[in-house]
Amino acid sequence: MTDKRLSPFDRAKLRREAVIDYSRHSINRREFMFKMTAAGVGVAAATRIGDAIAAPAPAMGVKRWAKQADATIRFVKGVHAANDAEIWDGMKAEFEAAHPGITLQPEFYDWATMPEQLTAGYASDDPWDVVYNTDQVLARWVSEGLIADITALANDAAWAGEREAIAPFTWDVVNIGGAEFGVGVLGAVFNIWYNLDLFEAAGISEFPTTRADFREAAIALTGDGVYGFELRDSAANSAFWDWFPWIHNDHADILSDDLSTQNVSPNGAAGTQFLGDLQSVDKVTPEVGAYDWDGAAALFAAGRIAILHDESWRTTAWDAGDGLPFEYDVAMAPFGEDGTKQTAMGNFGYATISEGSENKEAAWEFVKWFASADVINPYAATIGLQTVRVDSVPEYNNQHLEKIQAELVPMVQPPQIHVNWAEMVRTMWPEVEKAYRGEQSGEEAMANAAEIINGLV
Amino acid sequence: MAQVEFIQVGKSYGETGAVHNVNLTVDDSEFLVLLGPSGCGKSTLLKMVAGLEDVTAGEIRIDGRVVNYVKPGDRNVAMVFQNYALYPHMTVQENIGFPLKMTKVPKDQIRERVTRTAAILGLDGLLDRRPEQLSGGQRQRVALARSIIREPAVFLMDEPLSNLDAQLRVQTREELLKLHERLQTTTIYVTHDQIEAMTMGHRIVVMRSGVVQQVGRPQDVYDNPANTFVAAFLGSPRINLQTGKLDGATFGGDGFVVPLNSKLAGAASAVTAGSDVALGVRPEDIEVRVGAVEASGDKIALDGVVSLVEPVGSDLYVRAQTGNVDWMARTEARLPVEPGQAVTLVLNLEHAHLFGEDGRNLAS
Amino acid sequence: MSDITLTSTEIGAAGQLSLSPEEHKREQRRYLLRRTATAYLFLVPAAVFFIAFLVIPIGFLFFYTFHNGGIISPRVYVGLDNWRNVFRDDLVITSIKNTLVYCLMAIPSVFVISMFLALVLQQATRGGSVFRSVFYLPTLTPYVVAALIWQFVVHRDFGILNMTLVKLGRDPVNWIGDPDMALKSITMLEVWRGVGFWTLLFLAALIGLPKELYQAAAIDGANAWQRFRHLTIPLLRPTIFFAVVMATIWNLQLFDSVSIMTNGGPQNSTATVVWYIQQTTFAYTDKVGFGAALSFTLLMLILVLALIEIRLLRKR
Repeated sequence: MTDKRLSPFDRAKLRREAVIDYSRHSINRREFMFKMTAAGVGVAAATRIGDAIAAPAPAMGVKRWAKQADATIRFVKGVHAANDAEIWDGMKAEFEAAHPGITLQPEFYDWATMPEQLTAGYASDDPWDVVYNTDQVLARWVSEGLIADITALANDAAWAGEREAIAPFTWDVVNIGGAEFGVGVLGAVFNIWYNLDLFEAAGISEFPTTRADFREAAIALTGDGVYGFELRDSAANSAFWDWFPWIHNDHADILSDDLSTQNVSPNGAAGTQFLGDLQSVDKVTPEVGAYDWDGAAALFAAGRIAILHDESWRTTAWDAGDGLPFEYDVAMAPFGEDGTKQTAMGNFGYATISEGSENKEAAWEFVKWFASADVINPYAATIGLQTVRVDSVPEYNNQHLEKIQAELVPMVQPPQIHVNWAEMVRTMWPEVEKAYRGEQSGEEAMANAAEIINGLV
Repeated sequence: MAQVEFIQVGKSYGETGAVHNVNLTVDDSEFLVLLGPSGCGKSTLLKMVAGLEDVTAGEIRIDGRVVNYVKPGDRNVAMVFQNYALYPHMTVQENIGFPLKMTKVPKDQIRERVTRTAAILGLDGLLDRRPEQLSGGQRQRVALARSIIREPAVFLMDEPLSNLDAQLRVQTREELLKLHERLQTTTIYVTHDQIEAMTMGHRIVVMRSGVVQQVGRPQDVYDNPANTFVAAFLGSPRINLQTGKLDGATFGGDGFVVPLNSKLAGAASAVTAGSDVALGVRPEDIEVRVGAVEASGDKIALDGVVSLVEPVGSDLYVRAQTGNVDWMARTEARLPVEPGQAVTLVLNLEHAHLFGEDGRNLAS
Repeated sequence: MSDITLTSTEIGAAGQLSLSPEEHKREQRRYLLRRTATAYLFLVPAAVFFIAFLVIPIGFLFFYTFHNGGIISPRVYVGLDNWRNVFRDDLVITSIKNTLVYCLMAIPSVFVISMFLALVLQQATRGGSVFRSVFYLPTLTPYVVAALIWQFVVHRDFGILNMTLVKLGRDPVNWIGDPDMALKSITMLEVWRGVGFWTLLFLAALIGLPKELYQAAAIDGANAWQRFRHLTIPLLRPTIFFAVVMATIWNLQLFDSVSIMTNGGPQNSTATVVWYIQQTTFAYTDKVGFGAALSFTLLMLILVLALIEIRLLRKR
């Protein structure tokens, strides 16, 4: 892969094209992020879903790949870059060179219609052999018996070293009902960007780690055409990603750890109230709804927002241009009320083998290859995403992405796994919006949200 | 009641002209017919009076007032269209009352005048019908009613009878004349039908290619056509126009010679001997005889051979060849002739005409 | 003179029929069958499409309203659960309300503007075809491009609307971020997109109107407004009838612009019925039955409204 590595400029260009490409689809990237719910779930949650499986498919035995007959592996994944197909032409050649007898056939789905396309694919007589699944849908496919149990393969002694190199939390996610259904490969992180020049001008040297300091800083930074703070506010822009760390840090989440009931009320009230006050009382942000996601990022890039809660890939987009005309850095939302917890939000994707595949051994060879450091790190660097390997990091050529990989990825508290999670978040979101606009308190918002969530548990 | 004057009136669309230099006065209460083939500009002229077409040259005056720049609705004219232009979504009553409604006449007055007008035209029982439920003749009468209800100064009629069948056309012609007699409204009537023009017009205006050819009482125009176009346009079957040369007191045609009578000789004096001229003799001025006939007075005898016999009931049209030309004669219905038969053609030159090279009647 | 009725035998002697009455009957039947068979043959493609792509899917849809799952998960009969949920769901009520409010704003606006433009274009002697294309362009613009263009209209700082307001000394408006404004902004976008289509439709109808009627009306003293009021509107009745019914059917299905511009927000203020169907059927894939029941509800809503309109607008 080394000889194929792209220049920083090319990489930035890829990233930019990827964003533009997403926007061509009506429900583009924000929907991708939304649907690409992610990793990290307690064993209790996994068990719960596992219980739903009436008769788990028999686990596969370990069988080393040996060329018995020619096999073709069809692999489908979401589009991660405008020229993803081109990138995969190269990867296909590399894979096939290393695996005589196996033909790789990469295919792509649109993020906008991912559930429909995968549903159709799984329902057909000839499903893909390997599917790149985000964990929310992963759980659903597993519960339908569509994904092969790879416990034996993943625990094969010969692969133990590689298994060790992949973050343990991903193994928790794919472990459903005591069996394993995929291998973690890629991820994305949501974080805070802040303008160091504006901080310096305001005499603030450290990024605040308490809410009180954060508020003080945001107020101090506001004025003269500059907003101290901004975060996404509409469901259309997947605003919940930016909201989660603020309630996670108060030990709240959509659901309780055992997924049996809501956990937004009362724990989520303080964080929601805090964000609402910043927007509707302190007015350190633009009016709620005034800017969409890209609009806010553009304001930050123009030096008119001091603290922006956004996503990690932004930095490659900025690099793709001339960079930003000021120094900026990466941060996380401050600790919660009790000062004990600080997290970042993130989500992840997994390589899975279809139960309907007739070439599961060959498919496993491909999954191992895709998850390996030599393949996934350069690919992640090219498309600007994070990996889940703990033994190595992608060579980003971007200090911010390096810092995110090193400092934030370990702090990620991903979404919970529940079949109705997406619907819960979507349906309750207007309550948070009302709190952001000051039309109701954080407490009221969370009480209403709790009712909605419990209706969907 | 009004006089309509055309003073150097012209109409052109860009470079092409549709009407050229029309000078004409339509007298008060007159029934004037504009006659000509389609495309001769007669309808355009009428629409210029109505205000539906702009006047690009000259002036049109109604009762002395220049109306070039007056909106159609303010010219106090009414128009009957060839296809009647009834409002399909309105009842007969609403159609007739429309002009009054548009000029804000009180409702009860409208009702009363509609009733009165409808009675005049025998539309009493049809007031609640829609145009689609009426016969052609009834529609025509509704259109008339709609135009007379305003009591306009001038009626403009654009081929109002051409969509009716032959019988109804004759009947409506009479009704129109009676109506005119009763209302005495100045009327300009456009038609391409010479019978309508002859029977209805006080005067007729024959037009061709936007130019007025002749204006006059119908019989005068028929008897003394100003040129070959007018001569050929009026009369059925068409006038016989034979080209030839003047040689002293004779007209030398293609294979035949006609000695001129005094009237034609007088006309011939207007041009030099040997000029190319055309002799015009109407079919009804040619008699077909079997056997030899002596010429006498205005009557000239020519030998001919019958080539076609067309009985039309009341008359017999006979085509016979003399020299190298054909003559069309309109003769008595029961004349026993048949194709190939040798006959004598008796030309009555009393109403014959000589036309110059430019088509102009030499007598005028 | 009295009419005399003659019978044919008085005029000429009757000949012999070459076919017996039975033979005539048989031949006639065959002849009619051949004629109708051709007609049915031509109808087959349309009927196949109608059945395959409309009747059968609607049948399936109705079937699914009584089930959960069915695509990859096993289909489970749930009785009237989906129907009960449809009428219990607050967002269903909200989305129906939003959709109706939108229709009430959008349809009259787009018709008034389109009719005005059509009348202007009809009069235009020069450049008419250019303007026709210009007005139609938004209709041809893909939704994503239209939404992008619209960003330049409603953008907080650089949108022409706010720039104009600020120039006039007014406060900028939060066009799509304010729950009170978002649906109106969506309406503006839809009107902008629809104007070209309806203008062309009205223009085509206007051009087809008999010129003589207008000439007659002009001579009858009707001014431009009276001609419009007493001639154009009644004469365009069939067109307007078609337009009102079609616009209702189309606009009740508002989805694309909502999906792209606001995704139902803020605070569900632009949540429409089809948007919600899409959300429940595809975004939450296990709610096929609920989405089907909601689709059926929309179908009924469209049917009822269209029938009411047909009743009201049909020729008196």
